[in-house]
Amino acid sequence: MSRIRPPRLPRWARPRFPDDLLGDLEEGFVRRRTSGSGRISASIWYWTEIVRFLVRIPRLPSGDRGSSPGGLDMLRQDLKLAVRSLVRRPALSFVIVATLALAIGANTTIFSLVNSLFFGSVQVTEPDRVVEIYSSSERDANIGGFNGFLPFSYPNYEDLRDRTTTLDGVYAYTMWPVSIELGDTPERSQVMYVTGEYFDLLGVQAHRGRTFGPTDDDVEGGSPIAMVSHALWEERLGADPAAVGRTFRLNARSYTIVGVAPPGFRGTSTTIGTDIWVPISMVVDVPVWGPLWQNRSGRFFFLGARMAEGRGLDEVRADLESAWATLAEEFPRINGAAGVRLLPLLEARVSPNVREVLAGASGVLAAVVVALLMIACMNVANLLLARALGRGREMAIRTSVGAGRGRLVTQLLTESVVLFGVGGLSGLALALWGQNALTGLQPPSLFGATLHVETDMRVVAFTATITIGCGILFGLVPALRASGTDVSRQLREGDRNASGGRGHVLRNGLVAGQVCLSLVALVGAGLFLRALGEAGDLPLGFEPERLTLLSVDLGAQGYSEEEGRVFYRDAVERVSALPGVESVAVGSLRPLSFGPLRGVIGEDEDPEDPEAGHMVRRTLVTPGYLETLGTPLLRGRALEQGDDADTEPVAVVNERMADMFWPGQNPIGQRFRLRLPATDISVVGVMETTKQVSIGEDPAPEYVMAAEQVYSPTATFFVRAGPGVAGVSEQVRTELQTLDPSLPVFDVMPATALVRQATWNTRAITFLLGAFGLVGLALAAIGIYGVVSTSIRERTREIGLRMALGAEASKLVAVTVRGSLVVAGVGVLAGLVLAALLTRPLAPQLFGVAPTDALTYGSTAAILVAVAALSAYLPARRAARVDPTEALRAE
Amino acid sequence: MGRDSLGEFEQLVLLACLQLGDDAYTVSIVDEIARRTGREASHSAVYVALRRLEDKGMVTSALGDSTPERGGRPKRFFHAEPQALPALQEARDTLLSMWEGLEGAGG
Repeated sequence: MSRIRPPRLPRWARPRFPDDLLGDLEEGFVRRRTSGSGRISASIWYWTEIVRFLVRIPRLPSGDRGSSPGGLDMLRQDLKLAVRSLVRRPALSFVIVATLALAIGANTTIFSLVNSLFFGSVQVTEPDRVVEIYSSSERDANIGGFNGFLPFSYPNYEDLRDRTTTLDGVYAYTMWPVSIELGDTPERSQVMYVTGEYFDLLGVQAHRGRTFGPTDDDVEGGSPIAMVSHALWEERLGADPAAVGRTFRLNARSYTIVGVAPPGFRGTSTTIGTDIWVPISMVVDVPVWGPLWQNRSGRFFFLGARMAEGRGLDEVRADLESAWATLAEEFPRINGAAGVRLLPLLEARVSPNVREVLAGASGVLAAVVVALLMIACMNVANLLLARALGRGREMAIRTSVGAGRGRLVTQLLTESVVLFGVGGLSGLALALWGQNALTGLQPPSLFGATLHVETDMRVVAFTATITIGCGILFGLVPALRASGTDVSRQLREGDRNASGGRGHVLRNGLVAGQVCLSLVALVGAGLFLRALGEAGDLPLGFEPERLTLLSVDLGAQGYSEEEGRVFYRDAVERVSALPGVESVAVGSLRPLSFGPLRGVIGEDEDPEDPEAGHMVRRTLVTPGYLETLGTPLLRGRALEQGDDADTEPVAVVNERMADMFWPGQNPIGQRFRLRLPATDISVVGVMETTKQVSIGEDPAPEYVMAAEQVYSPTATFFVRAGPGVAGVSEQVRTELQTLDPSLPVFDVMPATALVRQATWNTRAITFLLGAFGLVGLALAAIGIYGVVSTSIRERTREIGLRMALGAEASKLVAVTVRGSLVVAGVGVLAGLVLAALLTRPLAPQLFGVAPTDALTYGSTAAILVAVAALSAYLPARRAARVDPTEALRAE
Repeated sequence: MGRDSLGEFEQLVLLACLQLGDDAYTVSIVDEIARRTGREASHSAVYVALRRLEDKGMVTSALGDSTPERGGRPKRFFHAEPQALPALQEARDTLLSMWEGLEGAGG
């Protein structure tokens, strides 16, 4: 057996360690290994001892501190020198540190955002054993904003749970908005309905009181109990221990709080969160679909499961698929066209319906901030290089008094690492501020969740790594260049020829790189800016100007259907009588918002065929709805007063639905069938297709029906004010609350705000890309300016000579500017190519603007060339003004 | 605390040195402290404490033989000097005098 050896010490550390101590440590290491410790734990012990000794060296009697000025002493000396030389040139150091702080701060901010979203903790025991299960469907995969990750019906959930063998258990949950009353006024909140096993399977224990048990969801509507989040308990219930046992009103019922969730737990997702959980059997109270919750056709629930100990993802997937196959066989009409798919919880914590959007946006931002960091690093490298070359004489002197090249490189590297270190710390501070700003932004695609952008150890480690890594990488080239100068030549000639040909090539290359990367960022910003313009021009299918939205939930208030109809009638009457109100209507859904979809088949299609028909959005409306929204009626008639419970069900379909069901035919008079509850409906009109969920979406099918025919307990009032009338929302709210003072009126906003929300992603990316692009441009300008002025300073003698020999100042300026333009031109060309490659994946987010939009590319390139020319012109003009005799004497 | 007074850790190390007699070196002292107090001392800390005690004249040291498990490196054996014991007693008395009247308090 070969001898057990401890890890090797780095060479710089060896002189610090007395032989006898190394012997002691080796003996300790060997004893640990032979008594059964693993290599890693023994090595950790060894390194800990090494560090402990290094830390204690100053406490040794002075005679015992080792012979050569190795290790820490050398480092200390280098640090002292570095700080001194940086303080000596405060302006330069400030520029470098500020540049780095901006770039590192931007990187840390974006990294912490990505970190919180995609790697945020889920507060679940052994999260790698938890999976989320979705229903999939080839058809209709992308409707309803579910992105192909669809919910299940409750009976299908029960069967899947009972027919699988590789899982410890399966839980189901769904979210729904409700009215709650914790204080004096009712308010709107998202509640999560969960099965009894939910908390146990996730391994989540109550902070106070208890969680739900398996029997809590046994009786339909029979357990009005609730768990509340730790945050709600602290902020709304004053962290009162007696809150457990307290009752509060949720919709029309009184619920008892039985427990408080542990701190931080708000569900299993970083993008969907709740503050209140209630047993799933209470979902029967949800207006409209609640009573249908046990129906096999009603896909209302998302599922999750804990894999049994020792079971792998593939085994579980096969198990679920075979269980689903039996369900598809038994219920071909309902389940035949669907499948199952599962995702590990750690992937599903960013809900799959927004994952792509968020991943795309994060990718763009990450690319941009990395580019910004590169620009900043190139700039710093350039400044360091210029300075290092200017210090050729100092280096030569130090070499001639015996400093080895290694020492010089180490010292120059230390300087750059110190600069980067200060920049990194400032960047971290900037990032903390930036995180607050990001947390304040709260993208609307986060459903009920609050985005917490936090700095954890991972973020700090990330920042430290890029800081030190870039410090060494970008400090090394200047250090090697500067230390490699010819001693005797330097001493003889002074600084005059310090920057030889190779130095120029390197620095010009760095400037071209900066130009290239700023161009990419600015092209990105330009494209998104154009996209925003396009989004403003895209037909929405309704007129957002002067339109105000206010929502109510009568079901939550316990209104019966009859009471609800009366309320709508009275409310519409009162509101339309208000001065300044042009028209008013009620609709069950808001445009540009998520809403449930319904299975619809054509009249001649077989209801038993699961492949038949489509998922369609349905909005229940009062007469005057299309007119109030400004949605054009294309054919037939709109819904009228006479369309009520006593007449045949009729609908106005949108153009997209007409094309899907009756291509090439006149849709008026055609009939279609709602699967659940089975209803035949006649088409009386065709309206323009409106945007349902997002501005960039493809046209999706929808129909509107009279709310007198199908009652909706939740509704939005759409109020169009007359031209020049400002702020009707408060008057409308007052009218509604005159009818019912306890009614919460929520989500009050102008329709224009709705549109702004829908373009949030694009606007945020445009803003960030634009900001980063401009910073990049500024850095590139500084870079060009720096290079030109340094090279001119070095050529003062040559310039003076030329001027003395009769060269014209203007010509001199032209030559200098032309030289810089060549460098910038190379950067621009490279940037154009790179931008064309990198922006291609953005196409879906650009609302139809081509990723290679010539206008954007052309104008950005022109701006960069202009900035480059100006940055070269300023120092060149200054040089051309010098007095030739003055310049010659300077040497 | 004066230069010659003994810190708590130094007292531990010095006592272990006295207990071990001729076999006192870093590793055996670490073992002795662990055996008697259950406290896992760091080798480096013990080594540094020994060199400080040597500087204070409490111990002397000499390089000894080497064993293969030490990678051929010598052991440094430490031997307590005559003044070590009175210094330790003084340290104990100092502590005890501070304890007077507190026995049983806070029980």
